[in-house]
Amino acid sequence: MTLLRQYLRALLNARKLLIYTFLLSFGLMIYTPFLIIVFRSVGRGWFGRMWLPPEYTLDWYRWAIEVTDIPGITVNTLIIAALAVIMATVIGIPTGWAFGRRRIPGKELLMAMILLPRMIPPIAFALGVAQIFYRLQLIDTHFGVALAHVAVCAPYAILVLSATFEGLDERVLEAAAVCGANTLRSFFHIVLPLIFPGILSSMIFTFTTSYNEFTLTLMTYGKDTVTLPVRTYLAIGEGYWEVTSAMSILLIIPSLVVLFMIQRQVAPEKLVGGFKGV
Amino acid sequence: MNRRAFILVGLVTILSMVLAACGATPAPETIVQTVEVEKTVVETVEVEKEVVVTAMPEPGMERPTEITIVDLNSGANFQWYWQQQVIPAIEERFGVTVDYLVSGESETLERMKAWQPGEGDAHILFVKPETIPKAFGEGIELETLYPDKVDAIPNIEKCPEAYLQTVLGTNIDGAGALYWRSQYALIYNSQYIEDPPTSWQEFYERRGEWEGHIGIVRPDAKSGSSYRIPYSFLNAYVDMVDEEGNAIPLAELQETQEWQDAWTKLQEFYTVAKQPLPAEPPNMFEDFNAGDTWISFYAMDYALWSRHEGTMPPTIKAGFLSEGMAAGSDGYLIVPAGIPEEYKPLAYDIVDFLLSDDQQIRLITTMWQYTGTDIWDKIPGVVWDTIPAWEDMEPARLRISNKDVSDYIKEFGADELIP
Amino acid sequence: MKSGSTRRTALVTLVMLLPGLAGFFGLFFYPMMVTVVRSLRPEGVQVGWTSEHYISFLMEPRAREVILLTFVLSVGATLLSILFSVVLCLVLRRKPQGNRFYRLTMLIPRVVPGLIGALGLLLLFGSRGWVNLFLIEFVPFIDEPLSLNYTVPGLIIFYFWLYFPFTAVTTLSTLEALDPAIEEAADVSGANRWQILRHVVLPLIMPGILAGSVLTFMAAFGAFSIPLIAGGNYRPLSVEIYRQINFTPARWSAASARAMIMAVLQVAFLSIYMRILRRPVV
Repeated sequence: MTLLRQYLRALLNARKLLIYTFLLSFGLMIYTPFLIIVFRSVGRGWFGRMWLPPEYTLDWYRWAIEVTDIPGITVNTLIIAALAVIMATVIGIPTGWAFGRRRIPGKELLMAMILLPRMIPPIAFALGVAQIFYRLQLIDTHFGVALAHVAVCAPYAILVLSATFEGLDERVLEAAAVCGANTLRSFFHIVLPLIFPGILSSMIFTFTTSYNEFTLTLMTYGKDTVTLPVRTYLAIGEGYWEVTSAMSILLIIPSLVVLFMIQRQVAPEKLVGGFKGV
Repeated sequence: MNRRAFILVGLVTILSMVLAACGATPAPETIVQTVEVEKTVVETVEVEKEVVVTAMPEPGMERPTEITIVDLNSGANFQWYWQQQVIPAIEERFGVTVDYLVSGESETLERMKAWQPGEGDAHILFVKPETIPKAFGEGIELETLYPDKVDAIPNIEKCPEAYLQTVLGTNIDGAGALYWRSQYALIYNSQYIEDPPTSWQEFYERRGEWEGHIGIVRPDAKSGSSYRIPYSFLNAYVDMVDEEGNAIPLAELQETQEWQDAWTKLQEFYTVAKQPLPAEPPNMFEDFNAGDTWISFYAMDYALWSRHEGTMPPTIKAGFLSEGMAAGSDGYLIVPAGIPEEYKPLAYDIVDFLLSDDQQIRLITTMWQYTGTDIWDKIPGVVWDTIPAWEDMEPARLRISNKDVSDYIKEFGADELIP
Repeated sequence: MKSGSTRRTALVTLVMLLPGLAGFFGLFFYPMMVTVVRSLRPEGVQVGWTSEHYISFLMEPRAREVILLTFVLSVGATLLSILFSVVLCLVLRRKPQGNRFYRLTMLIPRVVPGLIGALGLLLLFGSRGWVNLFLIEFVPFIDEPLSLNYTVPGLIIFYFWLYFPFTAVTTLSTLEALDPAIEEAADVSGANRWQILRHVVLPLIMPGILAGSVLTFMAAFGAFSIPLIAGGNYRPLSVEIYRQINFTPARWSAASARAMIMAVLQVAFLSIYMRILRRPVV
């Protein structure tokens, strides 16, 4: 009996070791690309095959700051993302409500249609968007770029929110009505708290989608609306990957900060709350 | 009934959208107007100009206080130069705010096509040579700077006329002002190579010495080096222009034995390059930095600047290939016709300023880039310690004049040359 | 029988759907039509119809390779994502130490712009990157750096790194939404860990996994900036589109045609995939 117990315990420990090794490798897999970018951004004379640069310097950061308007670009990206989130949520809530709580003829077809902008590579319709925007004078405006982003952000919002509304149990509302709450009260005290995780989730997905959107921005941006992905793309094509690395590090700091702030409020797994899948 | 109405409305909407999309882009109207322009030259001489096209008087226009320069040509080295040196100088000189924007050629041209007439938002563009014929091909109009605007841009007369009239074998009829001349050279790492070849033919003969360490960018890369490298190689074995300097049609060339030999040699040359061929120059320079690539052919200013800044090994050197070294991406300044008229005088002034002796000298002493204007006697001698004197280099400088060949390389190079 | 309230409900529904529909038509459908129209016009011209762009591309021998490559990359990355996500989520479900940190880590590739991730991967797997340095030093039979960057397996790894979070996130949420009573029941009935996994857990979370993998596949199919800087000789469909735009003069009609082909392929594959998804999982 004790031998078996010892054997099982050994197996259990091995399992734990296996798990931690796996998780450690996972962490390495995700973070080493960034680590190497960091080293590239502070290394000097790193030629040939070496693990680490022989010298360190902040010159590349100085160069990156001189050449790129980092604060301006960050602000642009954030403003555009915020606008896109607002618009996508404004579109998403009524649409999600309709999909989630009402019978609609051909709902499946409509859903597939709504998802189309995510399925088709943005370049296919970005060309058309640019033409229209020029005529409407929306080029190089924060609102214009955000509007272009809505095409790829709204589907996500609609998807999440329709699942959220679908999951809203009628009976809870009925119970509230039975207890004497009027529509307004039940909305603020019952409905809103229940759908809030879904709204938050959709806002977060929408935010990151807009933040990272590249193709549509490329066709609608101008001198006032250079965003982070566009600037990165231009930087990679230039060579001088030391400077590009420095620029990249500076430009991802805001998104990491946002992520950090969000995860303090909401546990990461809640970020997918309400998303039942396609 | 509900459902049917739904579907009907949907179909009508879709149909109308399709119809609207078909009639999509109206041809831009040419706006004709009389413009009274007051131009202030630095020595405070007031000159009044009147550009008459058709009688349609416009009330006096105000000189703009903000202007946009779009850069489609500069790499990171020159972006630094523009932003740190040139733009402040312009702002100080003219008292205007300059918005400097780096962008990509295809996006910019596409957006210029979509401009409403007279509403263009890129007032001066700094472009690669090939952008000008491309713009014409897309129906984008550019102001003819030479000889039409010589009064507004006197310094343009210091640019060599041949460069103002043609690029890459196409006529541009003075639409661009030459800001700089870039030169390709043999680039090699002296840590691995002590006696580099001095001609293409020697490079080819001795290719075995450096097999697997030769850097050649893919023929379908976006960078101009994609066709400049093979073009220069071919040029060492076969003449692609006749005595008058006119390009020989590709069909004719392909009949000759010389061409076929040269092409075969070129294909062979690609097989000894470092595989896989780098997709773009940054990938090739990463190979240099890793010590995998020892020798290549690329823009001299980029290599020297990189070495100076420490982004390439200090053992990098530039060399000379006697049969011909391709001209690099010469830099042209263009002024689109589709911008508001009130911006044009300021645009011309700025172009003139950039071609001034002071600015051109700064260009060559800071960035080791040959000037657009022919002012060789005014350049400080110390420059020639680092780069070959123009008169020495110029005989080997190869302007790409046979567009057929360069197009062929860009279109079919990937299929025919990549091993 | 139409009562007033039914009509009113229908009206309300329509009004609620209006913003979504307006956005869809204005921001996506109409621009899409512009592209479709352009793809059917002769190059650079506003009138006349032609199908030459489609035909010339599909007739090219390379066309088949390009399409095949795009599929291989997307499917490969998706399979890898599924495999990895399942393992990762099963591990994270038990809330091991540092579990919150790892759940956050799972999101990183989606939070950071793809190009920066691609740059890091390019440097990491490059001929002087840490991966190769490690292999050369510690693995006895490897003396030369492995060329991972510009190869198909390398690209699959890049795509996987960038897009696995879609699969992982939905797998995790589905897994955690699972009623523990079911597993308990199986356990009580005498099934061991592996049997529970294979016969109870996996079938139940399969819809979630597949739903997430759809997103991974779609993203991998449409990715272009990554193969552009890291693709080397291998140019999937998305890069083909950009190649057309870089000619003299830019071939917008040809590019539009390729974009349409890509769109159609993606939708077709997805419909098949969704069909499979809809089949009852028993």
